[in-house]
Amino acid sequence: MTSRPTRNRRLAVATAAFAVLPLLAACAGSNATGAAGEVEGSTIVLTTVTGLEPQFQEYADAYMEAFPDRTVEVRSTTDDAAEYAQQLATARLSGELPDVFFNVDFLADTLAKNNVTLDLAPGIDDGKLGDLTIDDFLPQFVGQYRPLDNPDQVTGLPVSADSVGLFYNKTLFDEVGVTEYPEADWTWEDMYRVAEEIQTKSGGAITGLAAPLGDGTAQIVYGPVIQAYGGFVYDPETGTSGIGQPEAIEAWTTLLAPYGTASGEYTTTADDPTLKFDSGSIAMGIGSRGAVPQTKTTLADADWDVQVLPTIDGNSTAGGGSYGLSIAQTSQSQDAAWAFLSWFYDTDAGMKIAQEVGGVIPPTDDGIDNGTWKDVSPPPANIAIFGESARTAVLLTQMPGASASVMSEATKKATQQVLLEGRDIAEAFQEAEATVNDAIAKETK
Amino acid sequence: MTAPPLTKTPPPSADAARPLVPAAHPPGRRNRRVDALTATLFVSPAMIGFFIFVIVPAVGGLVLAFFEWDLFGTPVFVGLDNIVRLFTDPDMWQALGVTVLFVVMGVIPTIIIGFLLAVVVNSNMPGIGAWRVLYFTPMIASAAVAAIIWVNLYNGRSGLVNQFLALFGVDGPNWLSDPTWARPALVIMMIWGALPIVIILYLAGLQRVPEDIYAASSLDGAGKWRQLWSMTWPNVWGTTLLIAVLQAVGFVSGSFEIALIMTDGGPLGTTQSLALYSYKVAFTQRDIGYASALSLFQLVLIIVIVLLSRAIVRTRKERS
Repeated sequence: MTSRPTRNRRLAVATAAFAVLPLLAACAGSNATGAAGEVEGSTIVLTTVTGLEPQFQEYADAYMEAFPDRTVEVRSTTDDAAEYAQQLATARLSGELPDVFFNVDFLADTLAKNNVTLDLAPGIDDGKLGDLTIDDFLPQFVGQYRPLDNPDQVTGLPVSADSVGLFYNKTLFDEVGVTEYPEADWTWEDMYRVAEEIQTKSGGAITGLAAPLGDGTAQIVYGPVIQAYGGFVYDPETGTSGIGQPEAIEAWTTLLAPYGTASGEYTTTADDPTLKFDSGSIAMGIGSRGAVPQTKTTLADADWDVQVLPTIDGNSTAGGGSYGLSIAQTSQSQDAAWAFLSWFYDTDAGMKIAQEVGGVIPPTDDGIDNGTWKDVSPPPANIAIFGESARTAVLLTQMPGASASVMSEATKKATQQVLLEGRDIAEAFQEAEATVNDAIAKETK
Repeated sequence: MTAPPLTKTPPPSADAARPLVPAAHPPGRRNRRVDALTATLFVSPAMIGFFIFVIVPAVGGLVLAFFEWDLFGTPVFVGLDNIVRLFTDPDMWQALGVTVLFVVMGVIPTIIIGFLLAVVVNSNMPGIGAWRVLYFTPMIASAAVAAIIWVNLYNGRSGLVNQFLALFGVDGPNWLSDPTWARPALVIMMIWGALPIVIILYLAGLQRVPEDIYAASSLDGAGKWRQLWSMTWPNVWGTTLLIAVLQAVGFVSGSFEIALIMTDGGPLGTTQSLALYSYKVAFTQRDIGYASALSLFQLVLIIVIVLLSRAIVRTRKERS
């Protein structure tokens, strides 16, 4: 006969096993395979981040107007990258991945490695995007969606060729009597000098330059600056980071210089108003083309413009990046997903609307040269600079697994150690480099 | 002469022994079984929900502490690696220290301020209605909204806190970006957020204190302060213990969202509690196994707090 405590123990063990087995089975990932499906009469789900949902809804509406028997359901739940990754993982576990979804450089490799994203290269070669070929896209932007282990694959297509420029508020320049507006031939010294002059003349009421490094995580700024000094953030061939190398230390020295003089004091969070150009109290700020629509709204009464980023040793320091669209390997409506992408990347259809609605710069040579994205009413009058810098922009480096996130934390910590504790720049960033290299080694083991 | 009785006692009768409400069923094993079945049926929806949404994830989290998993791939069993890593990870020790400091700096002031405010709210002083509304305001604001408001209050250049200090010639720090001041700044905000529930609990406790002991102590010459510390405070000891446990657990886990929004754990990790650290490890670094081990460690910490409080209650009961 079994005693009651023994029975209870068995019950507990059985309960635990019952609880854990489905969970571990789910963690192992969905083994469902995709299918071509039908295009006519199809319904596909498109997931994006919350900030982009309104414009994607407009694209979907336009598509459904063009093809009334097809449906595109747009969904979004978050703007936070970590949460978005978590939700994709959850969707995958439950076999509910969307057919088409927002993808981004730092997530692309992980999604490809785990067979979440479909390799689009064969489909494009088969003409599923009409006349558009891979070679029509700017190679550096497509490169963000090539898996590190398998660079022949393309697991996402960039939506917009975004690069950064120097935003400046002429109204604030005029307010303090500074007439030297940013020029295309400016160096970083020029930018700092004028920023300091504005900040001093305003008695600190106006921030001369939103700190380029932000809270220490702005890779879109520090990546190109390190490269301009001859260094590198990540070398895929050796699988190492060089953020602690002598060239990079020169870059960090430049980037850490303006806090408190040409920029405000250091702040812990990247979304602090003192770091935002559109707060109206910042004379200059480095920002992405994607910030133009928002700035037009918030600085409606100010006279502002954009200029190419200053150079270092004659080298461009413009960074860039993109988000992309991917198709899920498990999609049961892959042909319908292709049909939507084919319409979306057509310069006379989806891309035309994307330029009008989202202000996107098509990531193709033809789109940059002939697109309607330049036809916006000023400000900014000089919006064409984004087309030029998109071609030469140093893009965010794709790194294995989650090591890019580790790098963000490491550079932020090093920045704080230097600015708040007075630690030596070289020491702090060499330690950060070691942390990042450990993470890369762990990801690639 | 015999005095008449003050009340009339009814004559004994057979009805006196009869229960007021007749039992529906005579007690028996069958009825107990029916009762148990009925109770089970009533409780089962909640239990099923509890099992699916609490037990399964909790056990799953426990098991994942022994695996390496990046959210997308297949979990790989790594035995005790994640547990061993806990004790060699300097960031974990720093986060543990921050968590303990949050509890130490937060719980005692919350109890003292909450108790004093509850006494004030419990009084009948003029205009108390308006004060009551003000005290409960933090309850209607979500933590995220409150955090954003406080970020603006603490802003080094334009924040109200520094503008107020400037009136007295004090040059306030850049609160949330200063390694010395960021933690106290967050603790103040968390105390503010915790006060409404503490006041409600103390109000419930105060209303159980018998009025006559105040009358008796007044006759013995006790003043208001003497009554407060010698009569009121000891009489709400049980409530205080409950609040201490709830707030300790709250400061261990509740610091997460506040720190995430206000400081992202910085500067230099001075506001990164265990909860925030495990969140970052899980969803920024996508190291779910180690994050589960961190959560397990946090669970142990909470169990220790609860056991300590039970030991205090037991000791106190034995003494009394």
